[in-house]
Amino acid sequence: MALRGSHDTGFGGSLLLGGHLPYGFKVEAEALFQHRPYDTKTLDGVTTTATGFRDTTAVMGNLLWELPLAEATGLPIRPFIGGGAGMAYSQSRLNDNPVGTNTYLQASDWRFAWQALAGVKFDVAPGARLTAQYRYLRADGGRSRCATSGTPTATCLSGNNQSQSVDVGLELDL
Amino acid sequence: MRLSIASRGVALAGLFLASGLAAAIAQDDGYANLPYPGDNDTGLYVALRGSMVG
Repeated sequence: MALRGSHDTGFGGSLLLGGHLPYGFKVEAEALFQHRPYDTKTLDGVTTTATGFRDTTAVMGNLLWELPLAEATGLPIRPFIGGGAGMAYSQSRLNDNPVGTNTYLQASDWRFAWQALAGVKFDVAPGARLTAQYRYLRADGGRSRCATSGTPTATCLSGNNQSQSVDVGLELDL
Repeated sequence: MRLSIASRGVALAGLFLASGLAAAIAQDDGYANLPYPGDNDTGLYVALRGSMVG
């Protein structure tokens, strides 16, 4: 059996508590959620519309470094790079569209996760910054149960849950 | 709506350009020298972000 589910573009969000450290370093504790809907499945070479989701909930610890561009140029722009590690809970289900009695893939698993971050912040008011960043998030070794019809019972694959996202938000000093 | 890798790259580049434009406007409005933690300062912050996920 060759089974593949394809995602449509999804959405998500994150909430974090951070700390300014000396020399432009930042440390963060972050909770995030990502939702990606399945729109097609390919089973033994035949592609059809599908429905379902792959959701990821994660708690991460991040370390960032801000380039001292604002101090060097006077522009209120603060580029940053960084990464983080933590635990991610992946939950997914892949069904026919419209939903019938078949569930082709199911997963729910906590796994170690890591992420890479890069973006910019810019000052908009004292103690307030708008942020835009790219995030690559990956959880390795998640187990899935698969079936060609009916309900999945047996573990069929162990794979990676990875995503790319563009995040925009607001950061406030406490 | 499915976005290709190229489209996501263009979207990200747009975000950076928008950031730069907003920063330039902020500079004109006198935000260039807002107080910010220096090399030896510490402090806490919170952030809320929304994501487009591929």
